Amino acid sequence: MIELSNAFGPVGYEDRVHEVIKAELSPYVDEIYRDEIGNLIAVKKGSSRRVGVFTHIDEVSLVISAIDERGFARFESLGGVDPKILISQKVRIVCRDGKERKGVIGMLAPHLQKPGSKGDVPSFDELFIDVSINQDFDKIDIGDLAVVDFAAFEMGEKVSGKALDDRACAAISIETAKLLSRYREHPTVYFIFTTREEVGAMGARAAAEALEFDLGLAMDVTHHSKEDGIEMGNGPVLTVGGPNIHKGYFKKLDDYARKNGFSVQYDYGSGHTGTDADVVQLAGNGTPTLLLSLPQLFMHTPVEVVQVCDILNSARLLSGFFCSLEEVEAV
Amino acid sequence: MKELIKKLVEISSPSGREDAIREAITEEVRDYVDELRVDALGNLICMKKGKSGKKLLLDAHMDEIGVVVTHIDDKGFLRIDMLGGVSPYMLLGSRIIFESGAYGIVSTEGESAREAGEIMKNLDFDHIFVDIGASSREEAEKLAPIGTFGTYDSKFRDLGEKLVSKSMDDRIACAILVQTIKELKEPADDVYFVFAVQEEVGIVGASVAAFDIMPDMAIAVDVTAGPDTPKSFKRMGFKLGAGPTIKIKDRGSVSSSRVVSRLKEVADIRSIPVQYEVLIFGGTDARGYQVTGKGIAAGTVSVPTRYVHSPNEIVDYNDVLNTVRLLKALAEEGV
Amino acid sequence: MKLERLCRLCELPGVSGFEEKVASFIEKEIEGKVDELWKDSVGNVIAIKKGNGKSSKRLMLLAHTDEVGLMVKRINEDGSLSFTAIGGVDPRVLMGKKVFVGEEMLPGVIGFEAIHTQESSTLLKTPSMDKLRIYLGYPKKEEAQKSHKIGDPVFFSTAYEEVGEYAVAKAFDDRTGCEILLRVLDDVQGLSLDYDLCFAWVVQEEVGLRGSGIAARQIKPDAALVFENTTAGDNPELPEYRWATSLGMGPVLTFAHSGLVLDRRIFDTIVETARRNSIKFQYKRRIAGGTDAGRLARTMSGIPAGVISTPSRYIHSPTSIININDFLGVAELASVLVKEGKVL
Repeated sequence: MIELSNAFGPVGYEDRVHEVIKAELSPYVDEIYRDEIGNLIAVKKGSSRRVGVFTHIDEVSLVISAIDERGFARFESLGGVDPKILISQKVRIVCRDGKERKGVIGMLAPHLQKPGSKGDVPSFDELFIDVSINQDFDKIDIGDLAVVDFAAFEMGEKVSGKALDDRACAAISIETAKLLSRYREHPTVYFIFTTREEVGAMGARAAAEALEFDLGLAMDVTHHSKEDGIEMGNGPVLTVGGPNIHKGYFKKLDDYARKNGFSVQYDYGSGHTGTDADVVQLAGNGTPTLLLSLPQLFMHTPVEVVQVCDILNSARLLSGFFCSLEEVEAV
Repeated sequence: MKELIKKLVEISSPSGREDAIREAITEEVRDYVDELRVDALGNLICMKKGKSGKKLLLDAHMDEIGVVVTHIDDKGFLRIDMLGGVSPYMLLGSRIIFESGAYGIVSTEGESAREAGEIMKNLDFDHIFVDIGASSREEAEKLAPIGTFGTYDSKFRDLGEKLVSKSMDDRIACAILVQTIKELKEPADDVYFVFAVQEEVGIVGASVAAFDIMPDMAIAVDVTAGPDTPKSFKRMGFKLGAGPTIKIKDRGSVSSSRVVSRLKEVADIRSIPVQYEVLIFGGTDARGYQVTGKGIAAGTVSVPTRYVHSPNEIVDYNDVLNTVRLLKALAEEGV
Repeated sequence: MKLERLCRLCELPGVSGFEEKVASFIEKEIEGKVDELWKDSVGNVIAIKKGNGKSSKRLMLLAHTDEVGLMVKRINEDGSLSFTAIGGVDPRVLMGKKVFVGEEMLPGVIGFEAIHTQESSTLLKTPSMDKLRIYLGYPKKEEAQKSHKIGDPVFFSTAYEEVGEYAVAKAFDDRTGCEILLRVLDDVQGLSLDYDLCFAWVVQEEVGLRGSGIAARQIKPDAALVFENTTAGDNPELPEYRWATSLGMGPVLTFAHSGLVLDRRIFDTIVETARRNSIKFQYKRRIAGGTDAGRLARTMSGIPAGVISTPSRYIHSPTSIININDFLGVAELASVLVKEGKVL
């Protein structure tokens, strides 16, 4: 998961993450390929029942939109980034010429600030990346991509790093594929590592249309919040049947979890869920959809936190659940 | 090419009322394409055959922003609402030409100096009206009944290197595609030219035009901002005169990386000047193509334009010519 | 790497009041190179290289070992830690960062609520430091209390990095000064100076210039040179006339700062020396910030001082930037001044 977190994969440019996933996943699947729009798709062949598991691997990132002669670059965000967490960060910029360069999103020391501005955080229009430290900063161009330079690390039973939204769930997909190998009978499962979820789920939409599933399951992160009854360490979060979530399949998943002693938590979705599940449900003639979430702290910051046991338990739950479907009629 | 541009930009065809511009374009291209049809929404779709078996789709939207009459009062004054991103401030003092042939002038309310001031600070469509010179409801109803569509009334002017007119967005792209159709002799792939409807109100035409085609690559040709005027947005770094732009992203979509690199490749092969563009607002038809069916690798080529969505948009003529060269090059080199 | 020892100095943890590791490092470096060496009750490291007796005067070189950071002020019920600043730390530089907590340097993160759940009206408002938290993964207070207590120091975690002519790190303020003193000491090994050359690596400058006066009283110098790190405002959000200093223009010579006009004679000597040795320099073009020279001027009967600084962008944040050539310019100028002794 640390390797996945550290991989460079801004929205629309996830190739390096593909490499990490391929290396880990190839021995456990029958086929693995990249589609037209940029999703990475891995297939584990099984019965005639078709299940699609969607996790997105694009990370919120920055793209250079202007650069001046002194080496200060302006930027736009890809996906929703809070300007507050960008201040005083080091960034990695991967440039068109293939070279990686460094930058700092600088913050003025107090003595030089305008009086009365301490209460305000600079907006995207006022922030800049100091790339002047690179001797060849003139090679940096509009369109070059940047991510915060943060190395993921273990914190007790947890991991903190960037892009755990949603690569922590990609890790669940990988673990699920490994566990399925132990079962004799399982559905044909497509593990789809989608692109562009952060800007409108175009990747998932395309894959769901192209492949047509009996069941689509999306996995994404959700906010750890004690008041809402969702905490890290207490297992995967199941979104209950509602507009976006298929009631029949939800009941099966919930029953399976309870019968087999899994600790799960619950969430609700009163319309669309803001994840790949939104578009999966609308694909083709409609696809029954489920959403499983991983509790996470500090979403969309470089220091997102997840608990490792939640990932492993989610994989155990999913692999068991999928196989249990083989024993029943279609819902 | 200036005559062609003038002809297309001066036609008044707002979103949903594209007949006039569609006819004009059809007349221009009829003899140069292998196939031509109009789909259920009104998109004009033409095709020039290639040899490779692959398909390239080039798109420009035919509609321009406009207004529609929503109410007529006893004295013959009209109320309007916008079609697409029309700023009420841009309308003040502007002339509107309605499809019925009537002309209107836009002004604001204000029963006192204070009220007028407040209204000016937060101008919206509720507080402006249109004067078409009628003195009664009956007269106005004859000239521009409720439901009448209108656009800016503004003429094309040639400033030498720069051209100015209303609706460079997106007639300049229509002209570019027409010119490309005329000049393109040996396309590598089947090239579809889609003149789409209703982009300005929600990328309607482009969301479906490709459903039956499913090309290997779709490129929308549109205008982008012109952030090279005094103290304009410091966050955007492209400008007029440096060539067409290859869009990286806007608020509507993130261009397919394949499209971006192929465009740059082709530009380099033929020595065509291009720039990269990151637009911090806005969207194009590319978004519609990206989510059609199973998804299409889509991107945008833009013509830098100053004062977009005003009655007077300015482009650089060299950028226009280079855009034609770029699209021709892509069609000849293949996707 | 060009500045190996500066790298190690910058990465050491040493917030005001907790400078021990920096002090020990320095003591080890200077052992055997000086005639007298001691550490006083507050933690200042003081060393003397005695002169040949021709002059009875003493020159003190000074830099501070402390950096800005944070301190744990409360252990919350949910296992997170609330904190306050040590020295001038703007809350805006803290979010989304990894930090080390306590003498054992346990890793934690200062996160922030996800953008999705914030109100758009407060998205661009600076959160008060009281609202921020350090999260180390403890599920509740009792767990956290096993390893942490009120008063624990918290350090930024930035690793030092060189990029071409520049370096990015935490704590250039004032490890650059500490390193300048070490370099001067290496430079004068084997030389016989007419006067006593004293070195003071002092503590707690960031929390009120607290260590320097105490050190001066033990040394009783006739004059001092303070080596600091000063703010460079050269960035696109500030008009040029407000920059104060900029990177790449050489060492910064200060004629006045907040609370003090520097001794004129010493200042002129520094300028003349720089010019004579063709060392490019710049003036500090704003009366802002303060240094230990302010404390020295108010100690005993007043000690005149000069201030020479390495300019740095984004000081008092976890990611500052210096130009390596500016730093080497300071080192060169310091060396010449010490060898010539004209400031005394």
